[in-house]
Amino acid sequence: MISKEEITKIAGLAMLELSETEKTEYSSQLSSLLGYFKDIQSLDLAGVEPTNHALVADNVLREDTAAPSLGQKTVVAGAPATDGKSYRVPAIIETEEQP
Amino acid sequence: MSENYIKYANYKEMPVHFKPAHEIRRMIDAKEISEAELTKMAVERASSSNGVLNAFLSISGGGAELAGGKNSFWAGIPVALKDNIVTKGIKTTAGSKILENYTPIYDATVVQKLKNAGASIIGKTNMDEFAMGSSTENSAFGVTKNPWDITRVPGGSSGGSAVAVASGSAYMALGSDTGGSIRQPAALCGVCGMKPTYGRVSRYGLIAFASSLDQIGPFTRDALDMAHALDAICGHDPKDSTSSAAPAESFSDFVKKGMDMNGVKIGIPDEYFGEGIEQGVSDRVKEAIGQFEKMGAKIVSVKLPHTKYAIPVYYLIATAEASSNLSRFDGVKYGFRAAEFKNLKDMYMKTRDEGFGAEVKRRIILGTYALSSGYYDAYYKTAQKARTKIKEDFQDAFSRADLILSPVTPAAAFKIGEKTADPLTMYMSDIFTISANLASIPALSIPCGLSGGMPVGLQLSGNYFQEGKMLAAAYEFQKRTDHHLCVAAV
Amino acid sequence: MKYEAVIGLEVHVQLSTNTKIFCPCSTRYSGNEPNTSVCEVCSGQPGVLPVLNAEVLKRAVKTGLALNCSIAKRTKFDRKNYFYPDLPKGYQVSQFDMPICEKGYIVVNDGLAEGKKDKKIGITRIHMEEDAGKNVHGADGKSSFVDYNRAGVPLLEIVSEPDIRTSSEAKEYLEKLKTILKYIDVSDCNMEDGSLRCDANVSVRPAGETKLGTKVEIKNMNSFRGVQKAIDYEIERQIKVCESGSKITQETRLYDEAKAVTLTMRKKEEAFDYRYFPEPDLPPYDIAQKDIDAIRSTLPELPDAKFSRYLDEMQLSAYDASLLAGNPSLAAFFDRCAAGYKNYKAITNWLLGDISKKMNELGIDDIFDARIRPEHLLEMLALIDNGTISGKIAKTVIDEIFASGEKPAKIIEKLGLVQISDDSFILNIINEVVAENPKSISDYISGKEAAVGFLVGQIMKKTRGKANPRIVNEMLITELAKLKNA
Ligand SMILES: [Zn+2]
Repeated sequence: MISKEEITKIAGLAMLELSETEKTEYSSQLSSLLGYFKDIQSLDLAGVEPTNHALVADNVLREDTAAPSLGQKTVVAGAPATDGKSYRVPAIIETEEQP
Repeated sequence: MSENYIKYANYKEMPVHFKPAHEIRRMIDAKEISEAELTKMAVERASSSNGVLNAFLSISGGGAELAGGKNSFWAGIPVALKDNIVTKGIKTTAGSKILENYTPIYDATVVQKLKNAGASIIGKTNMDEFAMGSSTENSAFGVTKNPWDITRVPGGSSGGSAVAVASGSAYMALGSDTGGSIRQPAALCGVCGMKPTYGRVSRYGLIAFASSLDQIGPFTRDALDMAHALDAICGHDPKDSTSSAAPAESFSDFVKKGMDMNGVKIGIPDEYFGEGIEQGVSDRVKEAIGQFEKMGAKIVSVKLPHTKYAIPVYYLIATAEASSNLSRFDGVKYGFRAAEFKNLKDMYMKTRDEGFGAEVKRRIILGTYALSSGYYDAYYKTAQKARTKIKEDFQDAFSRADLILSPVTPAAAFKIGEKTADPLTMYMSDIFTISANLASIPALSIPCGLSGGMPVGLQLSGNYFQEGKMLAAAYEFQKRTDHHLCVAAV
Repeated sequence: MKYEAVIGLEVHVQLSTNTKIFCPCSTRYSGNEPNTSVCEVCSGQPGVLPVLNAEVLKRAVKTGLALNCSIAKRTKFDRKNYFYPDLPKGYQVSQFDMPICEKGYIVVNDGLAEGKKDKKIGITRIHMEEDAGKNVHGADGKSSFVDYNRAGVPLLEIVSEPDIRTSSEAKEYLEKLKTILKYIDVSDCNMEDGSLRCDANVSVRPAGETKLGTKVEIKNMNSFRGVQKAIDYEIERQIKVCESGSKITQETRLYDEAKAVTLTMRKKEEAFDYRYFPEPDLPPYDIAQKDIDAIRSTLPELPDAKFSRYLDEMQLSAYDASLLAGNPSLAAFFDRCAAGYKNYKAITNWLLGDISKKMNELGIDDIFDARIRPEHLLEMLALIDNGTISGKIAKTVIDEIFASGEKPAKIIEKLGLVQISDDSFILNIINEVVAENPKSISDYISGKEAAVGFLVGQIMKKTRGKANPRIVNEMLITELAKLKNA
């Protein structure tokens, strides 16, 4: 059972402001989903390597050769708020927010 | 009451808009039709049907000016792209309000390849928001309707692309398949669709849902067109570290050569024919098995014992990856930002709350939970290990069979709104398709008849990089059957 | 009660590669407008994917080898998830449980203070990650501005064991680390411009206690000196808390350089849950022994080995040896000179004396940024040895090399600095000086040897320093002896 408090905490990590209705709804839906998903914990997985990556070849690298960048205008053009050069966000208060 | 579909005797009888691309190619080359006429027709069909079907989120004038590669198969042929494939200068929304006004500053590698091939890109197609869904009901821009019956869903998440081909607006459309998002709508709309081997097609420029599962693939009228589409989009991409360097033969040449089905071993997984399958679906798939047998294939039974774990494993991994992939939508760099907020954190929370739809938020919460401290081992890591078991099942099965045949979905297209209330019921409709993504193997869907007047799909899966064999077998089937000649009456 | 501090350092260094870690944008954006060295990848556009810069992997291995680490046979990247405007993707690609290097150490010896022994400071791990962008605070206090030029610059995070006990040991560890990194040429290591950053974990415990106390993380230190002062402050603060009978709170504190204090930033219960998981977009990397060996073969002689060689083989003083070995450029300059000149002490004296002084005057940090070259010094030393110039003239020559970059021989010719060794010319001058200074002569004859020095000075003055002082000395003494015996 995932409580509403837990949903609130998880939503905080995911930066989602949920309404009370949503919290209630997700709490019950996630509880039933995870109840069903718990099945996998009954599998005997001792010594099984996790599949961290899909079918991939290892050691993919690129040369350290510079290519032209896109340019300031192109990059910030689509932003919701800018000063034409940088992305503008509400003031950051270091002591409160920086991880 | 008139039928909701038309069955043609052959390609010749079909109207131009329903013909396969290889027929169109022949007609262009024979100067029976011009590229400009084709694009005009496609754009008109897309525009006129969009009011009802809502398959397109944007329709461009086509790509006559883009037409490069005059000698290529796709030169001048109208195609459509799922709206989670980024197109430079053309709005790309991934079906989400949070990207409502996003105009990409670069082209996805597949877009670059299609442009180089001279394809005429006529529009971007509707989809479940961020490809999360099985019905295209989760789009921020309205439901896409199934052209066979507009009260039913087209499947999803690539519903718009499936409908674009099913309704004769595009000869080929690209979709993305994370757990069946190409094969399932292809099945429900009576067209062909394929998810290639993971890494076969570059993901660069595909707005990520679940990075270890996503793969771009085509929708087409028949298997030969799928081979041509794969020829155009596959290949190693230095911008995608997970793209495969495996050599890609010409799939279309391979398919055209024909394949002797004698002795080809087709595996039937018992686990896929249990309870809960609609009678019509089960009957059509069994008839298809009979057809393959008639063609000389050897039908063998294979076991995929971890099938029942596939849905939990899939939803844990996919949502965990998605929760991280979707963090970049934060109102800072592009797209939507909430109008009012108190401070930075409030801006993030409101932007994401207002910008994402219910299913996306539900999955972000689920995925964040699966990765969070204290639950990582029990959920995420356990799922990653169980994924290994599912992969092993397939490797074992492919040691006994060349291809695996199964239904694509447990039932034909369901009614709009029928499954939106309960996420688990909706998730269960992916039961036959998600394993291919977990195992990274290629799988395709081709039409194999009707159930209650709605199309049924047949799934063929192959081992890693066995697309050629899979496509050739599908084409041999289509040479001897007429299911793919049956189209929606639109 | 006596207390002991336990300190561990987490150092981030930017690698000085040409391009960013996962995209081909240039890392040389310093002084450019914001968001000019940015592409779709490092600005976190939807759909982009990372591809690892081969040079980053190579430099990480090189660093690991130079810091005595074992190199992972297989390494992978993970995502560290958190929201912050300078983090374009909402996660940082970093390494969690399979870092590239583990279990190394750095030897510190507290300068060369008498009686101090070498001490190994353990290195827990080194991992690769991407740097974040920069937030600039707006003048109105309502907005901040985000620049992604720095986003995606390759970083190594070097985490030490809690082996450090004092702030000066911490400073030494940092200095040694910086020296080594400069030797192997992987980073500019400049704390002022942010290419080297350091956080400290500090705890205290009663002396003799083996259990660790509650640790406090200190951030925001901008110089080695700042690190030292912040640690000193924090140790003192924690001891006071302990002595008052209170408990230390596990927290993160920011160092306020102006006030020289640390201030609470975040308590432990507010700690972030980063939800690390393997980065699905980047396949793992297998590192073959032959590749490690190849990188090892490119390692230069490192400071500890250099120090020993200077001390044992070249007979330099420990002080001189440590000054030279502690400065990669100076050491390289010295080694090039030493290859062509066997009086190592003379080279050292010039390098650490007049040349260093001149560099200070001109504000030059790196000798290779000055116009002087090893060939210049070698030529000058030869000219001193063969009597062409005096040591005093040589100082003028050094000034001129720094100014014009010309060869010593040319400078001497241009400025007419050639030493006068012509006996008859010098004899004339001696005679003049003797004639002009009867008082000094009589002092000398009456046994005041000091008069010689005065007379030599007068002769040198007349020749404007160009007379060969050895010859002047010899001839003057001969002449004076004649006068005395006359
Ligand atoms: Zn870049």
